[in-house]
Amino acid sequence: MKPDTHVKIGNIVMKNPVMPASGTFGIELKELLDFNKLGAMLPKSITYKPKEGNPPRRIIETACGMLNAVGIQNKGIHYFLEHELEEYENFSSPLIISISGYSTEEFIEMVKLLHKRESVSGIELNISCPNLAVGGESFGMDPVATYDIVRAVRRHTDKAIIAKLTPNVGDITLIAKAAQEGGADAVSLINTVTAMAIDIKTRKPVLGNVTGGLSGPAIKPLAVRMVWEVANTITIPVIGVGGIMNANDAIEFIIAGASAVQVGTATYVTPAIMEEIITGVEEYMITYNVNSIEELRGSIIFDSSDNSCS
Amino acid sequence: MKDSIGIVISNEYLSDRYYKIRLKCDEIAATIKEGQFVLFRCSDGNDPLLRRPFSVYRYFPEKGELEFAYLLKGRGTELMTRLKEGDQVKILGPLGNYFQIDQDTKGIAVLGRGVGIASVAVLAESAALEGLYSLAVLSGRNKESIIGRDFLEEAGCEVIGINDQDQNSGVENIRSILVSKIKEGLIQQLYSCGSNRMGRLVKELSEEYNLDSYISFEEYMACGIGVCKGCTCKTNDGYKTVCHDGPIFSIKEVEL
Repeated sequence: MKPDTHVKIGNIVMKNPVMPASGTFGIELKELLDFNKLGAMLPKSITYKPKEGNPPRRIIETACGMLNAVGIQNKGIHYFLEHELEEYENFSSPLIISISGYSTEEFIEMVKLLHKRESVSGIELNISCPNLAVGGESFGMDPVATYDIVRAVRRHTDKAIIAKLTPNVGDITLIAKAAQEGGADAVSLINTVTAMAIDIKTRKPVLGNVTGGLSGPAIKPLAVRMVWEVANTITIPVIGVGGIMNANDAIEFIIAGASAVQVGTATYVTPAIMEEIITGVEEYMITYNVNSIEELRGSIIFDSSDNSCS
Repeated sequence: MKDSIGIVISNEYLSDRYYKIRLKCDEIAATIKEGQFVLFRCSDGNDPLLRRPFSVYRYFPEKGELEFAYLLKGRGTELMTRLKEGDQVKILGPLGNYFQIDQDTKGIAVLGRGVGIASVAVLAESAALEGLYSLAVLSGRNKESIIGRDFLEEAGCEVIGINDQDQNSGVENIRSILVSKIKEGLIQQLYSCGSNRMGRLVKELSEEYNLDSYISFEEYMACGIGVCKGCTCKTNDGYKTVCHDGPIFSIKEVEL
């Protein structure tokens, strides 16, 4: 029998727990990936006004990962709604829109605009992108600011609201709790880890923005730990993200407590990797006789008989 | 655009730090055009993680084969040198836009520097084979770093190799070579890759002599298809992606 892979995030019913991580998914992928197979679609973050993005160089590969400082280059929400949204409407998977703003007002305006669109199932609040000099970061690094922003947008929509959390904080569970109390339907974590690289020949920072966000397999253990901590702290669903390269990685996050997962950097390496992950999760469930994602979620086992200190 | 498998036919050392790999890959060989590129998966593991972009050096659609010339530069290309006949590699392509020659153009010049030669050589070859006058100005740090001379000459190109060691690779020398050809009426379009210095020369000459010219950019890339906005260049119209809006841009629209 086919296992039950569906999951619920707020009022979104996903047929499987796999969706893209913001910033790594766009309409250009449609030739290489079957969007209808995804648990949800989640295009790149948009801002209220158009944003030029950061000066080059914007990316650099590091050991088992990559650093990026793209700076949310996008044409603004009005352009998105007029020209880009309809492209996603050709696909059946639920659509979640990631938004980032410089102020509470901008977040509210964007949520109001998205609320009117039937094809939008959910909104992810990018309150953690480490690349913006102003805005973004300040919300996600402070529990009070996180509570306030979630609560402010909550009033304007009954669509699912997901708060994307930054790992660049002392205690991520405090931020997660604040998002839950503010009325978020779910949290996704982790966003990229603030990092930098220096060219030793020129002694200059490699990235035009000096610092950037580290993603890829290098950050996966950090993400698993934080997902585990947050899932033990809050009651709303946790979406695990950070270095997921294959189905095994996705399953690890679910066992740690994630209801769903986001896949980012891996799509750059293999554009159709999310299809492979969806199939791989199903195969695991069959092999290990797991009936539903809910049964697998948070099923981590602590063996009390094993007292080794390794 | 397909995420495809290429089978290695040969992988040989050319000269200096340059290598050439030949792959069998029907679906990409059938559709790729001059100036387009592929993303090459250099290893199955997580390090190096990202794919590497390579412009098509030569292609043979009737045989379903492609060649890429590459510069041994880091871990990714070092792993590529180890590929042997029969090995399978993942390649995503064809990607980006391609070189075009205007209908009324009677002759072109390509300017390639270093591994940039690998991007423009195929255009010079195709132009010559179509009966156009085709000049290839190939520049490198030494004589050995000039690749492609053999097949370009065979196709009927005029090849001028210049290099730093012989001290003839300066912009003024290239300018005087090009100006005389332009004044003779041999060249109506210029195509450049691999050097901003040469790119600026192409820009100047194109303005001076009203030539419709193009530059192909090399950049570090992640997705290769325009999603991540990681590989950008500055244009008159803001940042554009090298992988998706380019890699070829009109010389008029770019800042060098």
